[in-house]
Amino acid sequence: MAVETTQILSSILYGLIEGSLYGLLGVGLSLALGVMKIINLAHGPLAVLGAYLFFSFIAYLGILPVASALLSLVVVSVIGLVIYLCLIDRIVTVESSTLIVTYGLEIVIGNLLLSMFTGATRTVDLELGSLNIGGIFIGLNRLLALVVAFTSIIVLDFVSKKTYLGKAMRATAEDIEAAELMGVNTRKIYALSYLLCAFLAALFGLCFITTHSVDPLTGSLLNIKAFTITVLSGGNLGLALAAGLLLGFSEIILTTFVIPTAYQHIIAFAILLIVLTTMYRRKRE
Amino acid sequence: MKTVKVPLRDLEFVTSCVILIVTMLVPVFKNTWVIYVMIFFMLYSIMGHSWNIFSGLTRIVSFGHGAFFGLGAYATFIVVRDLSQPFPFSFILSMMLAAAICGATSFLVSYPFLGLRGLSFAICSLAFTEFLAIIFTNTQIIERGREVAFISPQVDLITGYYLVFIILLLVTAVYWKVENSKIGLALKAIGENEDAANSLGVNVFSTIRNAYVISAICMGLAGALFPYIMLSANVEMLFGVNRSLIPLIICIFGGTGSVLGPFLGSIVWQILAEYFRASFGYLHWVILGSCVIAIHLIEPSGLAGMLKKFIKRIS
Repeated sequence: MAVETTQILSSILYGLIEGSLYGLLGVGLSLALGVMKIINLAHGPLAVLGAYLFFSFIAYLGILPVASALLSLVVVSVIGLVIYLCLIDRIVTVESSTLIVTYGLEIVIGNLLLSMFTGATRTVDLELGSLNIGGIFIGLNRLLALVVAFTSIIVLDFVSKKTYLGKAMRATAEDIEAAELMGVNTRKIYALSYLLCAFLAALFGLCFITTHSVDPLTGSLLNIKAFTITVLSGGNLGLALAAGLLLGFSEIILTTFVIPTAYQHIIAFAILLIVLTTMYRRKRE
Repeated sequence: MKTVKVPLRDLEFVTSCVILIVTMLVPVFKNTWVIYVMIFFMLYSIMGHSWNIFSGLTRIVSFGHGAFFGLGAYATFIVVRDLSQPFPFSFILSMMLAAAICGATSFLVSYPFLGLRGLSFAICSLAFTEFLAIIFTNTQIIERGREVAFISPQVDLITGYYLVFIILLLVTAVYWKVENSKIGLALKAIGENEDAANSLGVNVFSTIRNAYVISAICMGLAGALFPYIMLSANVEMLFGVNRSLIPLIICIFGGTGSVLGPFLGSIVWQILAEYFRASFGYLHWVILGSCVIAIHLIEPSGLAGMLKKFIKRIS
């Protein structure tokens, strides 16, 4: 019986960690969807790009992990800003065009990484050791990822509620014309939101590569998971964390006790299909 | 304006016929490489046309037509490998089975899916394809995991070429028929403004459902041809993201909602893909992805749209 209790406890703990990471992933996509009304299919690939930059700074350039983390965050944010200014700025109001262009970006980023790093999976081992909590061994890298994910979501919530930038973003999301009339530079807000999205994607990428193994084409899977969280939370930043936790718990608990591990990703697809087809139907008169 | 529009449509028709006739005559040269390239040109045109029937006309972008490609290929595997039927009969049977499977599946999923629009539909169709891919990867239906399933060769290269050609003719005719009929007009109206179409008496749901089913059947035929040409396939080749991607890219290159679009798109695609694959390896996808973005930003209606504008300007 004791074995089962630890198993349940550890799956809860792992579900918490996975869930908070998914929450961090979903928050970035929700932000783009909420503020700019675009579905940013470059989100997952940007996360993978951040992860690979982190990996290559440490492995090939020998930079300290903290410095390489900061460096890759900056680089991905700048890439995000460039992507917005060069491509998305001119088509931001056309839904099908943003889909196609960000899908093109997904192909470009994924295959660029594939040609540079091959298809082998990579991971970054921070060598932090592990902690024993009541008989459950848990890597400190996972706990670090948990802390980073929770802190960044809380900080983001604070920023969106208390600062000028956050208020301007929410005003733009609610009604772009009214926001412009109130003196908000909406173009700048859009660019900053996209930059923030890229930053969050990269932050997720860093947490992800320290706890999982990543290959260059993971991006499309991450996109679908991020979208699952977004549709579950309805684009609400606070609820994104809850939705992420729901997905994380259901993945871990179902794969531990009910279904084979090979079907892990099918849970997100199933949730997505069910939620979309029942709650997002076009209203008919 | 009317005097311009009619000749343009005729021009599209004539150009498509010329492309088809040239395609028919290619095996005369007896160059194996050219024949292979042309087979894939035809296969991609079929995929482009079938995507165009639904997404090109209604402008509801589907990222998941690969699901029907995979299901169609699965029909051929059943007929040739599991039932081991001899050639002329097996071909007809596998086409019919592919059409039946894809028609039934698309009919069933149309009820939950076609209530969605825009990015919800796009992601939903993508998730459906991935869903099927996981199921097929983890069961014995084709072959377990990433293992490759084989069928014994049934036709020689030239016969295979003309089999693909017949299906291409069929699918092109279906597209042409759909576009220039009442349902095509209704689909275009839905693409322009759904509420307006609805208030003018178009039954929106049943119209797009019919288009979706026709489009899925055509995609299934393309999938059913695939094992006859390649003789082997695995889940990644059938349900992989490339299968959903290629029709979309081809229609963006060539032009959506036009019979000429998939032909032009496949020609450009084959030239670019063959050239860049030889010289750049994996980077060829990067270049092709950039081309997709560039063409979409320059001219959203693709090469066919550019051609139309050019002809309008000189006439």
